Amino acid sequence: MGRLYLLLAVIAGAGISWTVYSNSLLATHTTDIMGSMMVHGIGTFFALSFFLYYFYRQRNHKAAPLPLWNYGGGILGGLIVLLFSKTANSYLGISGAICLGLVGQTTFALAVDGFGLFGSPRRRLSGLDLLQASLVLSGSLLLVWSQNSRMTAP
Amino acid sequence: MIEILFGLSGGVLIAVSQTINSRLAIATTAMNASFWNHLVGAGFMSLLFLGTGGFHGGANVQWQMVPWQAYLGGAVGVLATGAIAFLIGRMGASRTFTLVISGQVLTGVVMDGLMHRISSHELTLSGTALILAGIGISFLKNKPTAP
Repeated sequence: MGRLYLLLAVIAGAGISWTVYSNSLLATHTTDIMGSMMVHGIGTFFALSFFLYYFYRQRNHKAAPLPLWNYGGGILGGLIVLLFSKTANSYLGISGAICLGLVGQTTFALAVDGFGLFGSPRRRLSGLDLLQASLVLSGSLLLVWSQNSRMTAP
Repeated sequence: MIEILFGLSGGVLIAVSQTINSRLAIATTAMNASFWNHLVGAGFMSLLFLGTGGFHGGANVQWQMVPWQAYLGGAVGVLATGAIAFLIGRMGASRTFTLVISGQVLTGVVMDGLMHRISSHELTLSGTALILAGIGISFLKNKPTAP
């Protein structure tokens, strides 16, 4: 099962690539805010069946209510869109925004595991975890950089 | 200088948002967490949309010009968000994000390659090799760390 998880994570990354392409296409035809609103709205309708299925299965269970912040992930999604469009439209450009985003994401994910933030279990980070994160991070930065040299080339 | 902070905090917020989703995924199901993520996001963005002038806020949309691919992001995003929330609960945030980023960037390389848009083969090859080495470490050290 472990290997399937690894594969699923890589496939989810490919899915994110598609959504970035698709959402930016929508944003160019609308606006950043309107595009993000539509993306979340379409997603809500698509996910409704999953929610109803869960609701139906839980109808006889009285589960303890969860803390409200557990439902707050979506608010940050809106802020993320705004922060990145501000960064990408500055002197840093799109590749600068991607690089900084990757650095922030990777280092904070290590902190989440290392310190057990946001109610996550604390996990001991091994040298291999750090090596893996730095390999993927430096590889990604190289690729973004190569893309940048392409964009500035005549 | 402040823009650097914007970019970094955008990345941090991605990790925060998905970790919060993973808490809900553990308590309920991953796809239920993805539903709430999109519902709350839609509500928040609607408020922002209305607060910035709504349909009079400068959007001059010609709907017949919008290609069908533009509408698919929301649905694919639901599946990807659910998968990531599920995986953070199983393998931890750093491992999940490292692999998700790999998949994301490698897809970009394949798409560029298909469209013949790769200009620097040296940089692209070395970047890809580094990422594949990173993924390889995951497969070698296959046992997910116990919480």
